[in-house]
Amino acid sequence: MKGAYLMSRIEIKGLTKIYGDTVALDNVDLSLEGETIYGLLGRNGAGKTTLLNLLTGKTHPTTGRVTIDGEPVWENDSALGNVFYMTEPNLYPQSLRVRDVLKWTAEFYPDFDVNYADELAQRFGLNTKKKVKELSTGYASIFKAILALASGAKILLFDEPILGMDANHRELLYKEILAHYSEKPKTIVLSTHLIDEIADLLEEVIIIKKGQVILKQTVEDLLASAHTVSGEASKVDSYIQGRKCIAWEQLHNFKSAVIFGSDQDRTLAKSLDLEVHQPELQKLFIGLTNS
Amino acid sequence: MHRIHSVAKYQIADNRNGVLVYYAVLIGLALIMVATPNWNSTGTTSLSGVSSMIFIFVLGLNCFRSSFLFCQANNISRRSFYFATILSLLVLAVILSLCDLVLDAVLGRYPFYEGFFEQIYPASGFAKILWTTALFTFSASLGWMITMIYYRANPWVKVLVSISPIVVITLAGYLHQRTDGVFGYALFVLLGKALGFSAQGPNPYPAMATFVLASMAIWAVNYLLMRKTPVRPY
Amino acid sequence: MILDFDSEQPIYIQLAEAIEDDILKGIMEEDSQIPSTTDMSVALKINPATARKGVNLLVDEGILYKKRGVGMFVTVGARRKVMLKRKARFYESFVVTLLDEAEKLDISHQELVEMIERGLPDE
Repeated sequence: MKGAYLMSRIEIKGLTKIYGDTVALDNVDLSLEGETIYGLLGRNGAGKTTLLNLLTGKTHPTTGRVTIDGEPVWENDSALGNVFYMTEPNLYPQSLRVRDVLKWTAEFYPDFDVNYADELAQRFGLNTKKKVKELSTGYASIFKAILALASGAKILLFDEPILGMDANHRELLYKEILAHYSEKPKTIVLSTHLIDEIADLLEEVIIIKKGQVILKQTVEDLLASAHTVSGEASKVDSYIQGRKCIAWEQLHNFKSAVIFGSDQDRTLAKSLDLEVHQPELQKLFIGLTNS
Repeated sequence: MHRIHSVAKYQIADNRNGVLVYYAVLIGLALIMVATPNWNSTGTTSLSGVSSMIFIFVLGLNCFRSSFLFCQANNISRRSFYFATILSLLVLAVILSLCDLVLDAVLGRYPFYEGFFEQIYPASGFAKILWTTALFTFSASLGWMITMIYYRANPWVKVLVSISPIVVITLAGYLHQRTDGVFGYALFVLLGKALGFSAQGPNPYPAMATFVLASMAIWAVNYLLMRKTPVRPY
Repeated sequence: MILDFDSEQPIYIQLAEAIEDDILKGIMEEDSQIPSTTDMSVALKINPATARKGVNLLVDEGILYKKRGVGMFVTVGARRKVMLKRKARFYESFVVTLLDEAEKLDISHQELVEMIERGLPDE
């Protein structure tokens, strides 16, 4: 299924970024294969944006390096031209009209699809005659997301893409991302701390905590590797003993806990008269990033 | 290369309206002068030169931030942005000097008018275009450098940079006094040489060389300032 | 087609079952084309790989088949196949749980039979 012509492999080696006395990113090794929708998940301040900024040469790493298809990204137009990065802050000239930004983006990204951008603007109800500074937070997000989708770049990075968007627009955006991805498979990274809505869009998750990547796995494997057990507190407690429990809740004598374990563990739990469920990604995320 | 060309195109387009408004005002002033009987019958007036130099200095001051952030939004390297900025400032300098040339040529027919360049140097035509282009390039680059220093500087350095002209002038005045006027005289001679004033009369070519060298020195500084420049959103 | 995202089942299995339901109900007819995995992925807001996996599950069981360059179709005889499969599971997934629950509630066998008869439509 994965075609070679759009392959774009991002390789991150020993990446560290230190600001003053804060370590924003701590010796990160990571590789992203092409044609996958990744979720870059982490709590506020975990280092998601720093990682994306380093991926696109917005900031210079303290140590380490980033390559795309073997080419270092720092100050390298040919490597950077493969990437469109939807940044959280709006970097567009404030007094430029939206349609002029579209026009200039087409100048900078030769594969930019103007018709598609116009179509998306219409679908989202984005008035292209407006100036950038006149856009509300939600529409600024829509505007940037449209630029990303139409850019024609092989790698799309979205940093908090749904900021300020209402429920209808969010739904529309998720559907557009999926439709676009199905039509033109590429590497898509959705960076967010709001996991609930995007969980099912993702094929793989990268979880980042305090500047370190603590997990990179397919959503399916991650969900399969964990289970929730619930039942009488004492039974749950004795089951938890010696197992990796990442989260639990107790209400009176009823307890539920999220456990990392194998299929045998699940079978065992069932035989102990405990209820066994598959936990949601959101739950696992909270458990893994708590502390 | 493709990127440099695109960015320069954007930067020039970004300044188009400013240039149009500027020359509309100049033409308006020119019309008022022409229409006023006995306008400045005792001396000569010039619309070109100094005003355009100040105008392009302001363009230089405004050429950096919004354009740099836009380039970063489009994943364009700092290097490409740097070369594109030089290219666009050069193009603007040429456009302004050509416009000034035309303005001077048209208004030069009136007795009250003499272009800035003609007031100083005895040459004309090609030398004039080169000289004004070199001057405008220097002026624009200076504006760009100041804006870059402010962008990169922390609050303390900003204060330092802001008060530096006063410090320099005070220091120069002090040196002038201590050396019984020798310092000021030496400075005057040096500046005269740099601008091509000699016993044989004014010559625009040394001045051109001075402007070109000064511009290149500024570009070297800006190159250093540009490396690893952080992205500071609005 | 509706998926229950809070269910304990993985999404791709839910998708496969939802397609089976549609086949049983006759919403998807035998030998007719079903929506593409792309359409399903967009409509249900799930990753295309997940949608493909769900559909492939049914392809492997011979319930759906691919026509090259055209799309995905319901196999002739699929409805019967699904029915047999579900019937085989019916005892496990419904009768056993039903009896479990009845035991918790102290429902006697007599009562249970009466309830079932009450639920049955008149012949």
